[in-house]
Amino acid sequence: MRITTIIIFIAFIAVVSCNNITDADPSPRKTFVKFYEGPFPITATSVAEIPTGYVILGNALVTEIDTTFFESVLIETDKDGNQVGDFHPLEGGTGKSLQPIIDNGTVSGYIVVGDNIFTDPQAPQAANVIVSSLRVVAVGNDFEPIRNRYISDNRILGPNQVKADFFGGAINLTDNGVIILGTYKEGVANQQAAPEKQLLFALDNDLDLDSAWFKTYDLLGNTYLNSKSVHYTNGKIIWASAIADIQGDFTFSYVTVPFVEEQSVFENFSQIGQTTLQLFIPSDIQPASSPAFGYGVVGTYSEQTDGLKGNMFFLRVDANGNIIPGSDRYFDAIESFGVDITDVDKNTSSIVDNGEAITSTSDGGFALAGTLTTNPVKGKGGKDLFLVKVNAFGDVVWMKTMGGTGDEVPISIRETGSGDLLVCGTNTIGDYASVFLMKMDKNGELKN
Amino acid sequence: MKRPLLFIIILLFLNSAFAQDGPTPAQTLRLARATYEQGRLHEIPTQLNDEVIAKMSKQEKVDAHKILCLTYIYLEEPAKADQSMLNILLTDPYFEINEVVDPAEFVALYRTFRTRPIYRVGAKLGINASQPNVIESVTAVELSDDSEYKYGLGLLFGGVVDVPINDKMTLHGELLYIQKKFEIDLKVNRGQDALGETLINQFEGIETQSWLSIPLSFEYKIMEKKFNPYIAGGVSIDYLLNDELVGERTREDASAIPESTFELKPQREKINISALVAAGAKFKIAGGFFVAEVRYLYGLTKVNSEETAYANQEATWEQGYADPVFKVSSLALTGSYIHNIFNPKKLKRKK
Repeated sequence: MRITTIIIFIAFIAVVSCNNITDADPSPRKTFVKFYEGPFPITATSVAEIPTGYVILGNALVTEIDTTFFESVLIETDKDGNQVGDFHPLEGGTGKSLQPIIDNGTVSGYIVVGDNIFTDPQAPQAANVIVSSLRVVAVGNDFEPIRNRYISDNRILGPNQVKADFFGGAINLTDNGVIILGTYKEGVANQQAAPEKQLLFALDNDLDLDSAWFKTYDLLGNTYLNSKSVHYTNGKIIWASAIADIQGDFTFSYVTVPFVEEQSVFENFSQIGQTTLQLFIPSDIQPASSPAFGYGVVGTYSEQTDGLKGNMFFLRVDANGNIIPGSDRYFDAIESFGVDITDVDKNTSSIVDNGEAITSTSDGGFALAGTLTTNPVKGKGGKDLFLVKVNAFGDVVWMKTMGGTGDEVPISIRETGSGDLLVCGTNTIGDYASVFLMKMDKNGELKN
Repeated sequence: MKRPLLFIIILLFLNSAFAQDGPTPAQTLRLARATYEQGRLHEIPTQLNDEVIAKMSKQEKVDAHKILCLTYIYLEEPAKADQSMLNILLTDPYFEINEVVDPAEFVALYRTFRTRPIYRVGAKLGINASQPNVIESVTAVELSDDSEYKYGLGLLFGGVVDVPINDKMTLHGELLYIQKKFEIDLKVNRGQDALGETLINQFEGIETQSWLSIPLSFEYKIMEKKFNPYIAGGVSIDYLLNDELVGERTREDASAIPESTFELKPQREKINISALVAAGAKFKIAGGFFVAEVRYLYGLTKVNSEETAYANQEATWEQGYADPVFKVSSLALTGSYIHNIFNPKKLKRKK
C-alpha cells in the first residue's frame, strides 16, 4: 500500500512540477525577433518608436469573396516586441510611411502617407482604369482614423482626357508642419511612358491635416524613384532619389540628392553616376548623429544594369546636400567577408546584394540593412538579411547575415533610445508574408 | 605364451574390482556424518580430505565443509573452522543457516562472515516520458493560450551497479543512454478571414535529445516483503550526445512550411543535472533480482540559456520558433536484472 502511495506521489509531482510555455514568465532579455501574422499577407513599410514601444505600418493583401485589394494596417507592440491589441486596419488605401505625433512623451496620434487606388474597368481611356491618389491619414492614438486627405485629380474629364496619378512616398514631422514627399504623373496622352515627377507639400502639424503649401518639381523630364525618407533641417528639405535614364526603367539610373529650400526651388542637386551606365538606386537617407556631419545614404549599385552584380552601397552627404567625393563604399555579402571584413570595389560582386535602409548610430557611425539573394555559395534561401555597421568614415565595424528559406527584406533600421538596433521588414515564405521586428544589441547580436 | 596373457587379464580384473569397491563421494559424506555423530571428530578431516571433496557435487561440498566446520569448532581449531566456513560460502554464496537446527556455535561463526553480495551488476531497459519545464518564455510569434509542450516517449537502456550497504540500504549507480523526447505545439491565431473563419498558424515539432546519463541514488528498503519494495533518491548527471528538432508549420489559407530538421546541440548546455526520486520492487530471480522501478527526474539545471534563443536561424526565420529557457523533467518506467556478486570473508572484529 505504501509503495502505491509513493508511486502516485511521484506521478503527481511529475505532472504538476512543469511550467508550460504559456505559464512561464517572459525572459527579461533586451533583444528579440518577432513575427506578426495576420489573416492576410502583410508587407511592412515603416516603423516608428513611441514611448511605450513601437508602431509598424504595413499593407495587407486582403482577399474577399469576389475581390482582392491592399489595405494599410498598423501594429502596436510594447518595448519587448509583444503585440499590443489587434491589428488596426486603415481602410482606403496603402500606407508607405508613418510618423507618430508625440507631445510631452505622450502619443497624440499618427500620420500615415500612402496611396489610394481607384479602379474603373469601364474607363474609356486605358490610363484611367487605375487612377492613383496620394493619401494622408490622420490616426488617433486609439488607432482610429480621424481624417483622410487626398491629392488627386478631381477634374471631370472628357472621354479623351487622362487623369493625373499621385503617389505617396515619405513623411517627416517638423516643428512647423508635416512634410510629404511623393511623385506624380501628369494626365497626358501616353501617360505610362511619361516622367514621374517630384512632389512636395506640407501640412499643418496637427491631426486636421490642413494644407500649408504644395510644390512640384519637374527637372529635365526625368522619372524619379525616391528614398523612403525625407528630412527637414533649418528650412531645407533633403531626400535621395534615383533618376532613370529611360522613363520608368531604373536599370539605367544614377543617384541624386535633391536639396530644396522650403516652398522653393532646388538649392543643390548633387549627383553620382550620371556619366556612367549602371543600376544605381538609393533606398534611404538618414541624418548623422550630429547634424554637422550631414547624412548617410544606402542603396543598390550594380555594374550590370540587370542588377546581377548588385552590391549594397553607402555614401555620405554633407549638411548642404553635397555628396562627399570618395565617401561611397560598396559591400558584397561574400567578398566583404574575406580575410578582413571590409568594403569592396564597386564592380566586385559574387552575390546579388541590395541596400534598403540606414540609420545613424550614437557612436557617429551608421548601420545599414539590406539583403543578399541566395546563391550556391551563400544564403539560406531566397533573400536573407545583410547588415553592415560602419564607422563615421564608412569603415566596416561588423557585418551579419541571417535568414531562412524565405525572403527576409528589411524596410527600416533604427537605433533605439537604449542604443540597440531595431530592424523591421517583411518575411515572405511561399504565398504568405508576415511582418518581422528584430531588436539587436549595438554589435548586431541577439544574445541577451 | 598363454601364461603371461592370463596374468595380465587377472591383473586387469583385480584392478577393476578394487576400483569399484572404493566409496563414492556420497558414501564418504554419509560416513563422515556418522563419524561426526559418533563423536569421533579426529577422523573426519582424514575422511573429508581435499581430494575427496573435489569429486563431490556442489551440495555435497557444502555439506562436507559444514561437517568439517562443526568438527573444527568442537576440536577448538578456530582457524580451520573459519576456513571451512569460508569454503561453504565460496561454494554456495546463497548458503543460509537454520537457527533452529544449526548449533549456536556454528550460527555464531557464520555471523562473523560477510555473507551479503558485495555488489550487483546488471542491465536496464525502459521508457521515459519527458517534458520541458519552461523557466523563461521566449517566443518569436504571438502564441495563443493553447500552445503547449507535450510529453513524448523515449527509450533508455544501459548498465546498472548496486552496492548493498546493509540489509536495508543500497548505493545504486547506472550508466544509461537516455532518449528524451517532447512535442512542441505552438499556435498563432491570425484573426478571421473574409468568411469569418479563424485562421491558425501551427508549428508542430518533436525535439529528441540523446543523453549519456549517470544516475547515482541511495535506495532504502521500506519493508520486509518478498518483492523488496524500496524508495530511492539521488542525482543524475547527464552529458548531451545529440539534440535535434523536427518540425513543420501549417498555415491556414496559405501554403505550409515543409518539415525541417534543426540541429540544436550547439544551442544546448552539454551537462545537465537532475534530482531523482524513485520507487520500485526487487523480485528474486536466479542469482539476482528483477527490478521494476518508477523514477521521476526533475531537471535542476537549464538545458539552454537565453543567449541562444534565436541562435538557430533556420528555426526562427522559417518556422517562427524561438527557444525558451527550460529544464527537462521526465518520468521513467524501467525493468532491470541485477546479478549478485559475492566475496565472502571473515569480518574484522571491532575493537
